[in-house]
Amino acid sequence: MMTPPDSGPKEKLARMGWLKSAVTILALVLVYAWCSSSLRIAPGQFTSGDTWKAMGDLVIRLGPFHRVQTCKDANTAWGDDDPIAKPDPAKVKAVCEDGKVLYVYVPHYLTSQVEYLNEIKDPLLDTFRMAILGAFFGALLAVPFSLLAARNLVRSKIVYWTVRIMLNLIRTVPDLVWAALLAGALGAGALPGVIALGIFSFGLNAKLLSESVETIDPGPLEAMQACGANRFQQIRYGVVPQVLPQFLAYALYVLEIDVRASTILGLVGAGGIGVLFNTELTYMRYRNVGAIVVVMLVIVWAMDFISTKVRERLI
Amino acid sequence: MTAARNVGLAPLPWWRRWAPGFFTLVVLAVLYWAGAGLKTYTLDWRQTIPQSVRILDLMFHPDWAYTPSLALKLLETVQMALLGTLLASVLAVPFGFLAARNMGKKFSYFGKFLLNAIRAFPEIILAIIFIKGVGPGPLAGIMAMGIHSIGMIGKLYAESVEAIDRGPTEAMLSVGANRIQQIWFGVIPQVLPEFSSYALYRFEINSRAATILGIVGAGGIGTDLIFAIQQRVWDRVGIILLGIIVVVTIIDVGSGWLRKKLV
Repeated sequence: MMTPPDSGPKEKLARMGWLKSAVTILALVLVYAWCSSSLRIAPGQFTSGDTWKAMGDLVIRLGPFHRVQTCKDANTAWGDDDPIAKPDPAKVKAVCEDGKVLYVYVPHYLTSQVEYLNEIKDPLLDTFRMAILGAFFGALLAVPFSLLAARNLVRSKIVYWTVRIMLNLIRTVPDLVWAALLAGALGAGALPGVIALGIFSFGLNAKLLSESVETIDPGPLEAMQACGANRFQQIRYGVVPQVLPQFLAYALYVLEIDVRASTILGLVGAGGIGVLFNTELTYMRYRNVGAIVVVMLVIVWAMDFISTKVRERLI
Repeated sequence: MTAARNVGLAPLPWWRRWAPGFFTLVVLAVLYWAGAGLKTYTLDWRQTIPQSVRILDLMFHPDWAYTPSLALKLLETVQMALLGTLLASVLAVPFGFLAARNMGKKFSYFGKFLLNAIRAFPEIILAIIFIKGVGPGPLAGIMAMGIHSIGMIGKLYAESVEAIDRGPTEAMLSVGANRIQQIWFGVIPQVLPEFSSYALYRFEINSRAATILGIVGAGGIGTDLIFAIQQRVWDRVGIILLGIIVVVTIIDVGSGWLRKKLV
């Protein structure tokens, strides 16, 4: 007996595409319900006015606004360009008697921010210094290990897998965790930051580089082997010229990641601008926090732009 | 030997010959600037090395009694990553369509700029802002991941929307389907596998990010880790690190396998 071509179980399933989507959506809803119930999260937390008020308060104070909440503050804080100008009676009344919270524009905002940035120049440059040193040592250390983790260069399976697994383990630990660990072990400062960035960039560089070593053209290597070059010569003249541009591009890419990471490493005490960020946040000097955030954004954008342009030229 | 290398070729101009040396010099100068300018302390190696060895020794003897509460915290971390990714992968859809050149038309540049701007805020900074709003806990971390991830997921979404086959939408246009119908029946089925694969990829990244968000108090294993480090309970640090490595590896392998099946 002949069956029509489109009545097999597989075709039947294919025609029930809606079932597949329904199951997927149901699964996602279940995941959401499971996670949110065990984490005790309700979307209602976001409809409550306090949440938005508190976040809005922070964002406003990150910008050029001063919060006037106390009567004492209200009597001094008003003025277009002078902080100790004559108080505005209506506004003083609003704060002192009606208990209102007001935000005033800070006079000379831009000049004071520039002054502040000038003050924090050193930790800012430290951020770059940490990233450069970490990226350099990471890249340097990655060279021998990436050769050991390349299947086409290493005959021994034991060496290959040992190095590979070690690199994978290093990469599973996030950079901030490395920094927290080293800052705990060696004491706070820029040194644990450099070492943490070094380890982190070593893992990343070694993985990327070993992959590009594995895809090189074996021709030059075989030719050199045929005329009796030793291992070192093979690598020097057969591998290095082929992967050098990629190596430089990866090192630059990792430097970009390192600069990004080094801005926040200070949150765990590992040096750079993050330390200052943490201090200003603790003392609730939000205008300074805002300045640091802006600097961080500028750094991230600039690094992104420069490294994309240079990598386009390299590869 | 050296002469044989360039047989039949014109000699390189001087600036090409000196380029590697010049490059090395620049790198060395930058390194000197970085190393000499960094204000840090010098370590007394006679103290640091035995101390580090002691710490490593303690870390390699994990505190196994901590396992049950570690497992709970790791589960919380993974759940945070799941919810953060779910939030981002839904929120990123309109951004992705806006930023795609064939959908957003002249607004696509604006969409791309928006995605870049979102991506530039590190998760940790967002987490600090959200902690002000909802208090310390997993919700702040989820929101931080949910917002930050929009940047990357949206960009990837836009790329896959830009690469769709125009056939189905044109066919639908010719039989009079409106814009919504075209997108729903002509675009979504094409991009859905890629969208889910990107969301899974971001889940991998978020599960790593979720482990560190606790450092600022946004829920997850990071809080325990930073407390253990500050209290110098190194055997507990050891087991927490082990837990992080195991979970991240499992998620990496599992999601990699799933992504291969999807696309």
